[in-house]
Amino acid sequence: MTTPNTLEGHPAVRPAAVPASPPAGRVLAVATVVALVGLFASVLALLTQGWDGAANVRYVDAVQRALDLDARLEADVARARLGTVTHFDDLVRTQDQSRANLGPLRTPPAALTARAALDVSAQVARYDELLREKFFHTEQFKSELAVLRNALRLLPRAADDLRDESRVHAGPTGLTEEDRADLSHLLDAVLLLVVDPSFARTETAACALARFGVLVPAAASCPPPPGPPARVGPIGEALLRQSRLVVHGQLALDGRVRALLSLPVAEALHALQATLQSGLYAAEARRRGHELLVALAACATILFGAATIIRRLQAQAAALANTTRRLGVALAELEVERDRVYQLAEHRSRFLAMTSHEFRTPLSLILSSAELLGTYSEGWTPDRRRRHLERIRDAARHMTGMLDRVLLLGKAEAGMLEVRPRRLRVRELLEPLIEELRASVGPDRRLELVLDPPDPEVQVDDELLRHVLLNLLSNAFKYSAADSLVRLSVCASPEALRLDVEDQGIGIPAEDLPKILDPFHRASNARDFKGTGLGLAIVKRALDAQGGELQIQSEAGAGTRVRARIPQKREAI
Amino acid sequence: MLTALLFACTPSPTPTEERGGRLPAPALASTADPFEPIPASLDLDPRLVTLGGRLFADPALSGSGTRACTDCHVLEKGGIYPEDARPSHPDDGTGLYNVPTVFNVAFNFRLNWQGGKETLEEHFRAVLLNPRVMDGGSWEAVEARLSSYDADFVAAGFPSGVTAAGIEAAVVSYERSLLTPNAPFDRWLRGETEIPEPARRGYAHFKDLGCVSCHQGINVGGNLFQRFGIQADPFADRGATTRDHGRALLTGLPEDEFVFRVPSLRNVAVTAPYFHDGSAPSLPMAVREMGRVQLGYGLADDEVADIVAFLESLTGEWAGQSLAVLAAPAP
Repeated sequence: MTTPNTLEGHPAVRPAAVPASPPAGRVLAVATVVALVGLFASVLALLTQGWDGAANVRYVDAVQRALDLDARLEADVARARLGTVTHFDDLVRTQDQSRANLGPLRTPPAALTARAALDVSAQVARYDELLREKFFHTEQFKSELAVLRNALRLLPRAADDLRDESRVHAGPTGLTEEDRADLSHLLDAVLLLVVDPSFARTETAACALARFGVLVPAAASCPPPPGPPARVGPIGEALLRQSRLVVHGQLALDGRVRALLSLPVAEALHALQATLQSGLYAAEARRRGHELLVALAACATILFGAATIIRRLQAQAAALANTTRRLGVALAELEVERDRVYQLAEHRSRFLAMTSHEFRTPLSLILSSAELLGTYSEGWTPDRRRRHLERIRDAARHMTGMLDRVLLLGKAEAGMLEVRPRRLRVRELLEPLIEELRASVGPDRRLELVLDPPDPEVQVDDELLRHVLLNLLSNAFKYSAADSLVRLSVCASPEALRLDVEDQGIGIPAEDLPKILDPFHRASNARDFKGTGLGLAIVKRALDAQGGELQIQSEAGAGTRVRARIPQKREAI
Repeated sequence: MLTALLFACTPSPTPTEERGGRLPAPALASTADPFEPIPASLDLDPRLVTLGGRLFADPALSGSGTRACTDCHVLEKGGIYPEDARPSHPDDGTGLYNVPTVFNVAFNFRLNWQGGKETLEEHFRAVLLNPRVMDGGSWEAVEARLSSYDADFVAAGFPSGVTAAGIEAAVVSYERSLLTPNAPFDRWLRGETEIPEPARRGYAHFKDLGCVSCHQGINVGGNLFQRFGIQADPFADRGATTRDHGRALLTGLPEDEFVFRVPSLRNVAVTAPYFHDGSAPSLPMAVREMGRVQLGYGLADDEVADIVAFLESLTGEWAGQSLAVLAAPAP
């Protein structure tokens, strides 16, 4: 078998079919991937580091809570000032919560830039400072409120005592009329101040106090007392004391509430909120930028990876297609080779079958005739002896002819058919041939011979041409009825010699036509006729050897027309 | 978009209304009474409370190894130092101060007479390291003296054993746990019981005379500063000494002269002597003096008796027993 050699020698199966990436390209690809992964990782780190959404929300909430608590503290103070609460626990609670809320505020969100965090810290410190101040005022407020409340509680009692005293101690032992009038005036002024705490009332009350040498801050513009403070006795002292506490307390408390409410705590917190918002907004924007970068890096990585993969797949697909194509070619060649091998094997077996059969018949004829002659020829007539000797001769001639044809075919198959063309007249060839044919098919078969021109001269190998004509004509006679006509047309031109053999015989079935030229192949309708299946094969080989052509037109049951064409070589060539 | 999701995923913060305060939420719906009852307990880590209780009674806290917290805060006697002679607390050149009770300190807005300490933690650190009080030395020294507590601190949630933070947390937790609920007055406030007629009259006087202007809230005091001597000079007889200047010693402000933290009147019947200097040995004397110098009243004997009856109704329970019974002198 030659198949392995053929495959091995084929370029399609060489290992170099898939081209290897050049080393420089691979290094570049690896470097790009590493760079992308690095970018991706660093931006991811940037993103995750210092971003805690919950912490940001907590911080923003804490600032809002500080604002709420500040408003609540002021409301608590206002309620206490109005006297609608009976204890300070609510105030203490609000202060405690404000103080506790400072803890989370002291750590600015990590998402802020160092500068923004510094700003926030400074504003928190400012808030802390203001809060402390507010708490200081709150503490003072509580104390002053308690004092004022009790002084207001005591004032009516002191007024009662004064009235009782004036009733009981009318006369020289008690207060002077003038002092009593002054005390009454003071009492009135203080009571009016309590009911209507205006600046004018405050001033009046303060001046009334100053008359007794008791100075409160609002008494700056009072007229100087006419003389040294009067001695007003224990009852007058009590009234003076409560009056002073009320006037002073009222003044102090209102100033305290004003101071407390005017502390810009809310403003500081609003500023903090603004800083925080812009800081977080910037952080958010940065983060979005980082997210975009990450997304871009991810996309780039994915695209790069995809492109690499696609390129590699494309290369592999191309290599595969190439390999497949080459394998296809190799396969087709293999199939041709295989068919040839099968054909050879078939020929061999057919040859064996044919020879065993075709040779056995004449051999047995020769044997039987020879034995008969050897044993009984003494008593035979010379005619009978001659008949048997002719039988032996015919059989031997048949075998010789068959051997000739087999050998000719073998030579042709082996490409060793020698062509020795020579110039000759067609009639010179045809006449002995027709004689020979008549001898084998019988003298009464009809052959129509058409020659154009009447006796052309051609350049052919006469031996091969003899094989061609003998086979074609004997087939024509063999496969047609005895009374039918066989026509041989010979047409010679300077280009070619054309031979047409027509009969009206059984024809060749269409399915047999493709194989009719194979050696030993016999048409399905030719089983009843003796034959070897070598005739047309020999014709074909003989024509091939001379560069000729063979055309067969046939219809089963209607007849066959075979045309052989042998090109003519010019003298000059 | 991502951020919006993050924000959306953040659980809405739990209401912090009750967090960050030393006072419990109001228990009474009515605001007619200026008081709130003491709650039965606070939300504290029981492991820390137990451990803090042992430390509170352990003299190993002090530098000398001889003085425990309970030496000056005798719990059975109302959480104060009950003897006539007062220890040097805090004897930092200002003179001696009467030891305030440790009961219900959780609700005081400031600590000490001057109100210099805002939290119990701050107070504990100061007292522990003050050479004239506990003389603890340094935190390292305190930790070393308490090394036998290592396993207990680990069990209480401090994996590295005895630490300053652990000691402080434990002691302060214990102090916060020292509440005296169920005083007759509290139970009366809650409508669970009656209080004697004199106590009811005393409560009315207490409110009418103006005591309630300062002694109000859950601790009946303990939530504001006030000058000692509004209507009269309490030091006229003996002359004011350094410590009598009170809060001004701390702040240097003229308006803080003679100002003190208003003490709680809870358990006041069992915490004699009274005032910052312990100058009032009995409750009637203290009430009379308060009426004179703070309110400008010369209280009548029956008024004093009624007010004292009311104040006695403020004595609560500790460890399931009334402090009035616990602190009663042995027969």
